[in-house]
Formats: sequence, C-alpha cells, structure tokens
Amino acid sequence: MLLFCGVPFALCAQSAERQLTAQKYTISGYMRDSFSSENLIGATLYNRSDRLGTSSNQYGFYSLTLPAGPVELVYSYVGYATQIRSFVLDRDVVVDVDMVSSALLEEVVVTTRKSDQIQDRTQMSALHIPIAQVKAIPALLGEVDVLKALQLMPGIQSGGEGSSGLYVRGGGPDQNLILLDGVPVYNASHLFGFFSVFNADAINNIELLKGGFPARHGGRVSSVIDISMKEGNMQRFHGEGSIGIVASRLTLEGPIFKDRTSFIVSARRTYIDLLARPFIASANATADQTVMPGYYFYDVNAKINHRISSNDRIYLSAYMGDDKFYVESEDKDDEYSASTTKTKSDVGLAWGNITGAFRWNHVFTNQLFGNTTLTYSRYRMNIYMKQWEKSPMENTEEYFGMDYLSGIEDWSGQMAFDYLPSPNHYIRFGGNFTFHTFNPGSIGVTAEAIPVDFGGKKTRTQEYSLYAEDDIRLTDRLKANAGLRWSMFSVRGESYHAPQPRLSARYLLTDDLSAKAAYSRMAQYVHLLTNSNLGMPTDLWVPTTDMLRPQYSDQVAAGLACNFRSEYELSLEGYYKTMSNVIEYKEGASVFDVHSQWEDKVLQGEGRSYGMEFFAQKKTGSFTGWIGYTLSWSDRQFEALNHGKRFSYKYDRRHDISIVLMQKFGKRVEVSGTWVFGSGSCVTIPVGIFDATDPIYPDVQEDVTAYSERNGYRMAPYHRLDLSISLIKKKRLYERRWIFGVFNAYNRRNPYYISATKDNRYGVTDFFAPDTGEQTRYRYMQVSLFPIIPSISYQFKF
Amino acid sequence: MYNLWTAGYTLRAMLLFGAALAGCDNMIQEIDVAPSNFPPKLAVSAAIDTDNGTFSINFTEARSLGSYKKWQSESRTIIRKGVVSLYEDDNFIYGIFSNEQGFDMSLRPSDSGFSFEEKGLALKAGSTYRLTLEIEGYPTATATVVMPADPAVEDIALDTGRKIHKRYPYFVGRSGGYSSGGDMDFYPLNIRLKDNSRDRNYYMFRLESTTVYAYTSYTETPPVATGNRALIQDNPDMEANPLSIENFEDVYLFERMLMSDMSFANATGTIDLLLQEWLVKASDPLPCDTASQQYEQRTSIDICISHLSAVTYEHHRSLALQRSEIGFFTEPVSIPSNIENGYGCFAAINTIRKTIYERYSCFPGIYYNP
Repeated sequence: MLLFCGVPFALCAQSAERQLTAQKYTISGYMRDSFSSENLIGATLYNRSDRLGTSSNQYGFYSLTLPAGPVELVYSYVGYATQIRSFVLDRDVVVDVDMVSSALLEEVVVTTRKSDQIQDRTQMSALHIPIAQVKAIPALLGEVDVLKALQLMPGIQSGGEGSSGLYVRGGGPDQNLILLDGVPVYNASHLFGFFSVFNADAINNIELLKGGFPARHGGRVSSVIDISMKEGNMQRFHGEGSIGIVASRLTLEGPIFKDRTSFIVSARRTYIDLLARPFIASANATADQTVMPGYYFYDVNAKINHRISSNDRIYLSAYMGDDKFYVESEDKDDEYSASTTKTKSDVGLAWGNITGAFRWNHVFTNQLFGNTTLTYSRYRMNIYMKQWEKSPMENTEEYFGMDYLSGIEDWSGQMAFDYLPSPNHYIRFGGNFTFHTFNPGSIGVTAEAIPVDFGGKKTRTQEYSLYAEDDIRLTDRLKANAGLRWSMFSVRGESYHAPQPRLSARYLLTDDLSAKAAYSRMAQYVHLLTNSNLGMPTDLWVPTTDMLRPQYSDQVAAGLACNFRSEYELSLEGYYKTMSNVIEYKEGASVFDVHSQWEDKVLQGEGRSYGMEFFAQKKTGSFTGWIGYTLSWSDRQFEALNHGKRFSYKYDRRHDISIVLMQKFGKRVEVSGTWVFGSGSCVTIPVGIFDATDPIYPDVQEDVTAYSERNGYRMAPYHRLDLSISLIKKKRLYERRWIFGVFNAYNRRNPYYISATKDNRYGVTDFFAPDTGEQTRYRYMQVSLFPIIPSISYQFKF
Repeated sequence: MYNLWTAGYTLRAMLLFGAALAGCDNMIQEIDVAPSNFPPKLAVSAAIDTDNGTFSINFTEARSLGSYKKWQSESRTIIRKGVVSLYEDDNFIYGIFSNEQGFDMSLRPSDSGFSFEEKGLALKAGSTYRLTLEIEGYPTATATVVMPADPAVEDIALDTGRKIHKRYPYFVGRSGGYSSGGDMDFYPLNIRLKDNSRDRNYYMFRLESTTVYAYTSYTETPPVATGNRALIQDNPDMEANPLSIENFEDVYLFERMLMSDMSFANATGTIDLLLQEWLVKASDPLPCDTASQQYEQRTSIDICISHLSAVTYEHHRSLALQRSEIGFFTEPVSIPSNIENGYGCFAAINTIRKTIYERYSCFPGIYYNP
C-alpha cells in the first residue's frame, strides 16, 4: 500500500510545496564520467553561497531545489576535478555534468569544501573503496578481489586463510546481503572461497554498510554489500584485461549507438586444469588406470545500457559463473582383457550462480526519480558420481549414478523512488517482492537403470517488503535519517511480519568533526546451514519455516567522524548488536545426512557482538591508504549447545588490524603493501578420551572423546604482509602494467585449521594395569595453507 | 562403495588439491595444546535405579588429556586413596572408602576403571541425590540429580490378535551403510502414560524375557521395535524417525528405547511398541503322557518402563551421535555432563515393571524337582 500511495503522495506534496514556495526552482540532472559517460554514484554538489547541497543517487541522478536567484554550484567527486557552474536560477533546469577524472588532467583541482564528506553524512558505519584502490591492493596469486579488499576494513573479518568470506561485526556469513546490480548473489566464492565471484574490471562501485542501515536496505541482519557493475562506455570502444598465474580476464565495452546505447562484457577463466593436465596425467597414471583430476572456474558479466530519452533509461545485466572440480578415471585399454571388468568413473562437484536484472529508470519530475527492477538469481550445487562397469565376459554394462543437488532460485521485483522536495528532505520509498524456491539437498540415485530420489523437498516461499525513509536536515548542524521498513514472509501457510524501525543522526560539532548515532532493526528470512564456515559450496540455503523462526538483529552504534584538509577521513565507532534466532547445525549433524530433514538438523539461538572500530583513510593524492583497528567480542548461546552456556563465536577476534598503503612514484611506478593482524579463530578440539560406562548397563563400555568447550580453543594469531609493485607504461593507443606481488612476504605459517588425530605410545607398564602398555593421545597438527607466494600478472588497457 | 562417503572424500580431495596448488608441503606442523588448559578430571558413570534399589558407579581417569607432543609422563597416576559418598536429601546414605591399600580394585588407567554396584537401597522419587568423589590428585567431583517421578502407566495392552507384517526395503543408513531388507511379523504393544508435567520427560523401555525351567532359568533382553521417534541405545547408527519410516518403511529392532515425550502421540500420551511375533507365539505343547516324563517351562515377558533424568537422556543421545560421527563435514559432538569437575553422567532412573505375557508349557523330559 505504501508503495502505491507513495507516488501520488509525492506528486501532491510536490505540487503543494511549489505553491508555498513559489520562488524555488529545481536543478536536476545526471553526473557522469566525461570519458565513459558512466554514472557517478554519490557525487556531490552544493551551492557555495548557502552551503545547501545533495548527492547523486545510485544511477547518477541528482536534484536540488534552491531559491530563485544567482547560484554557484560546486560539483565534486573523489578522484575527479571539481566543476563550478554559475548561473541565475529563474526556472527549473536540467544540468547534466560530465566530470573529468583527475587522471586525465595535468593538475588536480582540489575541492575547497565538499558537502558529502564523512562528517557531513548522516549515514554511519558505511565503507566505500574506490575500485582503483581495490586494484592496487596486493592480491593472492595476483588475482584482484573485491571482497578481500573489504576484509581489510575495520569491523569486517575474513573467515580463514585466503577466504573471501565476510564476517561483519560478529555476524555470520549468511547475514550479508551481497547485491550485484541489485540482485542477491548467494554464493560469492570461487575455488572454495579463495576468490570471490566479482571481476573487478566489470565493477563501477562498491559500498558496504555494517550498521545504521537506512530503511531501503533489508533482508539480512549484519551487512549490505552493494556492488554496481559498469554500464559500458557510451563514447568510445575500450577494453582492458589481465594475464595472471591462475586466471586471465578480458573486458570489452563501448557504444552500440553513441550516447544512446552501450555494452560491457567481461569474462574470466582459470586455466590450471589445462596447463597442469599433462603433468597430472603422467603423475596419476598407474599400470592399469588413468586418473585425471581437474578444477576450473569461469565467470562472465554482461550489461547493456540504453538511454531512451532524457527521462528514461533501461539496463539489462547478467552474470554467470561456475566452478567445477572433477576426477575422471578409466581402466586402460591395453590391460583390458576379456576376463576383467572395465570401469570408468567421473566424480566431481560443480556449483555456480546465474543472475539477471532488467532495470528501468524514469524521471517522473525533476524531483522524483523512479527505478523499477526485475531480477533473477539462482545458485546451484551438484555433487555427482557416475560409474560404468563393463563386463565383456558376461557382455553386460552396468551404470550407477548419484547426484546430490541443492540450491536456491529467486524471482524478484522492486520499485524504488527518490523524492527530493527541498534540500532539507531526501525521501526514499518503495517496495519489493521475491519468490524463493529452495532445494535444500536431495539425492538422486540411478542404479540398474532405476532412478530413485530422496532427501529434501523443494520449498517455495514469498517475501514482501515496503519502506519509506527521509534524510532530514533539521538544523544547520543536525541531520537525521528516519525510516521504517516492513517485511513479510510467507511459507507453508504461515506468515511472519517484521516492522523494522531505523534511525540515524549526525550532529556537526565543528565544520570538520561530527558525532553520529544510529539504531536499526533488521529481519532475515533465509538462513545458511554451514558445517565448516569456510564458504564451501556444500553450504545450504534454507528458508524460515513454521519450525525455523526468522533472524532478527538490533544494533546501536555511536561514534565520531572527522575530516582533515579534505584528504584524511577518520572515524571512531562503537557498536552493540544482538541477534536472535541465529542458526547452527546440531551436534553430530551433517549436510550429507539425507535421512533427516534439514529442519531436524538445526538449532536456533542468540548472538551478541560489541566492540569499537577505528578507521583512518586517505583517498586522494599520490600517497593513499588506510589503517583500521577493531576491538570486538562476539558470542553465541544455544540451549542445546555447550550445555546451554554462552560460547565464543568462531570468528570472535579480539584484535584486528589492517594497514594498507599505496604510493605512486611518478606515472610509471606504484608500490603498495598491506599488513594484517588478527587474533586467532576459536575452534572446538578434542582434548582427551575417557572411558564411558553405560550408567544403566555397566557392561557396556566405550571410549568417548572429550571436547573442549565449544570454540574453547583459540588458534594462533594470524598476521601477514603482502607487497606489490606495478610498472606502468603508457603508449599512444594503450597502457600496459606489469604487476609483481608477494603474498605472505615473511612466510608466516598462519593456522588454517587444527587436525587432531589419535596416536599411540608404547612402553608404559604398570603392575596394576599391565594393559596400559599402549596408550593413546591426541596429536594436534596445525595446517597452514599459503606460504610465501610470489605472483606476476600483466594488465593492459586500450 | 556407492555411499555418501564418496561426497566427503571428494570434498577432502578438493581441499588437498587446493593445498597442493599452494605448494604447502611443509605447512603442517605439530603444535602443543597446553595440558594446563585441560586439567585432569575424573570420568564418572554412575546411576541410581529404583529397580532393585541399585547404585552403580564406575570411574576412572579421563585419559589422554593434553597433546602428544608435550607428553612427558610415561604413565598415568595410579590412585589408591579416595572416598565416594552418596547423599539423599543431604543425608549420607552410602559410601565407598579407600586407604593406601586401595579400593577393592585400585583406580587405574585401565579400560575398566573402578566399578562398584550395590543393591537394596530405598531410593525415593522426588528426592535429591548427591554424589561426591574425593579422589587424591583430582578436584572433588560432584553431581546432583532428582529422582524422577514414578512412570504413570495408565494402560498396557498387548494385542496378540493383530499381527503386523513389516518389510524392510533397501535403505541408506546415517553413516552411509546399506541394508538389504527383510520380513518380520510383530504384535502391537500399546502403552499409555500420564504425562501432565510441563517439563520435558524422558523414558526408557525395554523387555525382559525370563524363562524358568525346572532346574534353571535365564533372562534376556529381546529387541523391541517402535513406530515412534526413539533413541536407540544399542544401535546408535541412527535415531528411529517416523519420517524415515514414512519414507522408507524402516522399522528397527533395539533392546532399549530411549524416548522423549515429544515422541508420544499427541494428547493421548501413547507409545506404540512392537514385539516380535516369535516371542509370544505359543509353541505347540506336546502331550504329557506320564507325569514322570514331563517338565514344566514358564516364560514371562516384563516391560520395564523407566523415567529418566534429562541429563541421562542427553548423555546417551550424545554418545550415540558421537559414535556415528562421519568425519569432516559433521559437527563435533560434545558429551553433556552433570559431573562438576569431571566428565560423564550421574543418572537417576525410576523403573517400574509390568508383566505383559506369561506362558506355561510342559514338555517331555526328565522331571526334576529339587
């Protein structure tokens, strides 16, 4: 209802306000990159005389209503030269601004005062990394990774060594809403979490919210990661690519019709399987069998952007990516005789996402912007085994096949409106519906040509939400964002409703320093069942049901934000977050146990996290980077785990430090380095063995493993230094860049996991216990994954 | 061969493949998990059962604490001094004492540990029982339980007039095992319990079949089946689960069934057990020609219904789950304990017996009357 009332309400309000303030006019338009015509998200403008301003939305659209008279508008965006437009405002005007990247200028024009600096924004707990910085950060095997760049921010932790999983303010991996062009991506990992699915060449903007959520965001309780793809260069054909150790990638973009239609296609593929195939084949060949394991992943991003008119624009974007690990084996022909059975098998694991989005932007009036989106998202995982046995003697051929399938599929629609009646209000409202189909793990077996299916059944659910929020300028110093989100989830005839109030405020203590505070309540209706917390493809997305309640979180945050010389941003934030109905597997539960329904395998409990984050960032100039420090606590409590006692969350890291530094030496050399430190992860390990005698029937005795308290053992701290140097050469038609990197420069053996195995020791004898000549103890092996790894990659642009 | 382990192996192989990619040959190192983090504790298994007023206890050192790497001591402590005390509502009712000469058997790091059993105690429902173990070299271990109420049996009915035929088809077990299936006949045994408590209640059911010959007798615990969800003590491969029965028509036979009252049929508090047909099938008695050439055989079947303390049920449930852990992708199972400063369980069991079947037969043979 809110959605359908919203548009007429906005139009009526606009008309009424016009009559009351007859001398006000609206300046609206798009802010774009002059080179590519890409929309600039979050670019700012303000009127120099009265300091009233606004910023562009996610599609580059802005609207600013000012009193009639002379205006001097200052347009600015980080990394771009500031532009000033002066004119007499005596009517509504449309001003599209093409901003020039500072990289294209000899001299950088430094903005004297931006209206969207950190201390000005109402939004707190937001992180934004320019994509150029993401690309400059040293990366594992030279593969640029967007999510790993986010892990270097305070309040965000990685799962394990090399993992691209995100744990935001003590939340779980399922509590992050990862959006690619507005479409949820359910499994954002390639290669078991070592790389993310996002190809940095195709990405325009990354924003992460970890608290103070405005009402327009919802669906997960810990964070929103909004990744926008590039739209394609409307002016000229352009490409870039990279050749690396693990993978290569290529991006092409350009106009289909200049200034009207553009496209971008970006693809990436690993080639370990192709390069290593001859070596693996010879290493694994036995006298009578060939064995061929392999692995690859690929992803493809594509987008078409068409400007129908100055008021209408449509986009069509898609992503497709797959991972496949396989082991193929076959008995050799030359050993094959009539008396033996020949076997051929193919075992493997495949998983991947497909997403698609159709988007229509429409400018209803110069103060009302609308965005309508239809999206599709599918994640699917398949463990398969196929085996053929041929017996020439009996002239028979038998086939056995097994598939374990799980996944989730979404169809979704969304309408979102931005209404800017005056510089004192930025109203957003809209609604969303999603039809989910969950396939929580089913096994299909084909034996003797008879197919049998068992395991989980598909569950279909509907999710709806409505929201409205207003970013209000209350006084010159006090600004607030108040909003309400309402969501509903319908499953098996049961409905859940969740009103979610949101409020955040900032107060300017000085021009460069502000105090901020926020409260937000979030609801989440989908859950991730994970055994390993490693971002494995076997993780299972499951819905809220009549037995499994939705997750909720309540978070309060407060802090200070300041800006020095328009170059340095500093923030200090404290937060306290409670989470209810978080899920965990029951003890002894396994993803592969198809005898139990998945709902019987899970528990729901409470979570809590709190801490403090410090962040200092320099975004412009030849020397850039940031320092982040997090002091945090995170725990969980389940009635049926750890004897009901509160226990540390697996990623309860007391201290987390990241230092990222990038230095340009002229136009030819860039050097960067990162150093990270994190307290060790918490794990549950076996600590001993005891003889359990059945208290009811003492004749029944057995060895029982005694475990530590849940997550009661903290592994060694994690720290690592990565270095990278880029050698750049610009030619007339293209630019090339050699990047030499070192991952884990001082070869720290960081713990990945601890394996405990029983081992025997002999020679112990005792008069009373001669049977103790052999004793068993646990032996603990710390497994590390990545030693020092040098990398080299070649990048080019044309 | 074709079981779900394959999936686990596949994934592990992939992890190894990933590790191999990174060339981490020397990236595995033995570490010390400081024993000080895990001080020595006693492992205690104790029970009080109203059936014959039994108090049984077994305790030993929890072995193998700490890591192999820093294992300096070649042998574990042999403990010979200690006191075990049992209190009822804070009144001492039973004790086991030891001096330098040791217990009846010294406490030792053997598989059997120290065991003791006493019968004939007057244990009372609703009373609080506290067990303390003051053993030299260990922190004092204590445990407290409340004896559950008597199982309130309202009705027991064995219907030998209705034979139930079950067929077990092919199924995949929890740990990936396969069964080829089979056929079996049962008679239904319907038990109705009054379970008005708001707290969760836990029960154990078992059969005792006693056959008395003229000159000897023996008792056995024949397996029983159920259609309700139950924790199977003797075969923990999986919980019997009505869903699985629905899907696969599995019916399992087990000697002891542990059940939560969640398993009871709604409102009626009814449990359905299934007795194997052969247990109650009357053999054709042969004619007794002469008194000197016959002997009498009496067979009776008792159902023992035990009301368990919650921790007892959870302890058994965890043991069953830990036995059936299937590796890397299974969550570790810790064993809940009500022993403060120790591992294990002090169980309180309130048992009643009801005879559900008796049969007399006379067979030819040598009659002996002592």
